[in-house]
Amino acid sequence: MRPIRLISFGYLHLPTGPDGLPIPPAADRIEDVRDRLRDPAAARDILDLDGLNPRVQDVVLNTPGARELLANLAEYAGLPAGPSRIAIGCGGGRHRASGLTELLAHELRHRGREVVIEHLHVHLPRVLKTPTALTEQETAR
Amino acid sequence: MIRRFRRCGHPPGALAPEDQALVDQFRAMLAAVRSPEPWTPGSGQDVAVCIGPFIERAHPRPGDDHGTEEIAVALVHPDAPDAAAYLHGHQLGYTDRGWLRCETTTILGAWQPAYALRTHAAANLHLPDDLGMPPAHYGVHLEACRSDGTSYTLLRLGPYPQTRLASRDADRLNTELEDQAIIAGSAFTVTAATALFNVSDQGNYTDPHESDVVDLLRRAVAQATTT
Repeated sequence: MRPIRLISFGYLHLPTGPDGLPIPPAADRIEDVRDRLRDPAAARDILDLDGLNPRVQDVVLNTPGARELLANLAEYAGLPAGPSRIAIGCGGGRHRASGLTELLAHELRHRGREVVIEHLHVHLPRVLKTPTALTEQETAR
Repeated sequence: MIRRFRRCGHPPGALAPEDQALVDQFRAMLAAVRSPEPWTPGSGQDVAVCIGPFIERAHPRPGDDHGTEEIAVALVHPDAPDAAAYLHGHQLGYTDRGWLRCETTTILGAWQPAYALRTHAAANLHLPDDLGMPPAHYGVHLEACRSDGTSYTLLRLGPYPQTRLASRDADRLNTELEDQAIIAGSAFTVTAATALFNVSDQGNYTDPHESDVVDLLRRAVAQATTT
């Protein structure tokens, strides 16, 4: 079976198209976890870490809905006409997306699959997302 | 006796492929420096920034890249997002600088891979301590002024990654402070102002994220009044 490429990214860092919308990386499936997984902002001790760190992965895995999503992605990756690229995006690409990507890679390797990982924005400092209406502020990762 | 030397720059025969590749890379770098690609603010493109004799790759901070004189950037390893670049970037100090203030006059143009030859990473050098780019974090300082004219910092809020967020909270606090209800009974007046976030002093800051800054102010005033 050919290797599968897993990509993590942050929507805030993506280039934008003429319509002003972010252009996600090309993939067979793009999983937007900004709303699906709670922002782990409450876990202040991981703010300066990134998704390659086991502590961050632990926090992400214990976020409500994460285990189900991980199982779903692993099943999808194992489909007979399997995908070659799966991209996972969150706000800044530093915690949720990269952590989940590492966890998914671990799971797929455990199932005997060859995996290539690409973290597009994990190396960038965290950034605040400012909603358009400027009504609230959220620490985006 | 006359000794005849070969000129080093003109050895006989063709260049070895690896030498030719290096020459091509060097020529590409010179061409890129001579004819930089214009950078469009807000496009999400990485930029090439001059730091002394070096050129570094920098990623503009989303929403904070429209300034005419200064923008906020993070320095990035030239080979990012390669896995090897992640580790190398950590080793050479690319990933621990946070957001930095970058004068737009130091921006050469949009980042091109040809510039990689001029980076600290290509020379395997650690980034210098002084990059000429101060941190781009901001804070809000609440200064308490006593009746005898002396003053002190009552509360430091931060970090704020964007100036407009810091300004918004400072404005909100000053509006609340205008009616004097918050500081009634205390022997001082308070004003809020934006300030640079002092990273080395971050233990003295209160993180405003997910908190109501007015509540934080009330608590600080109550604490100062009782002590």
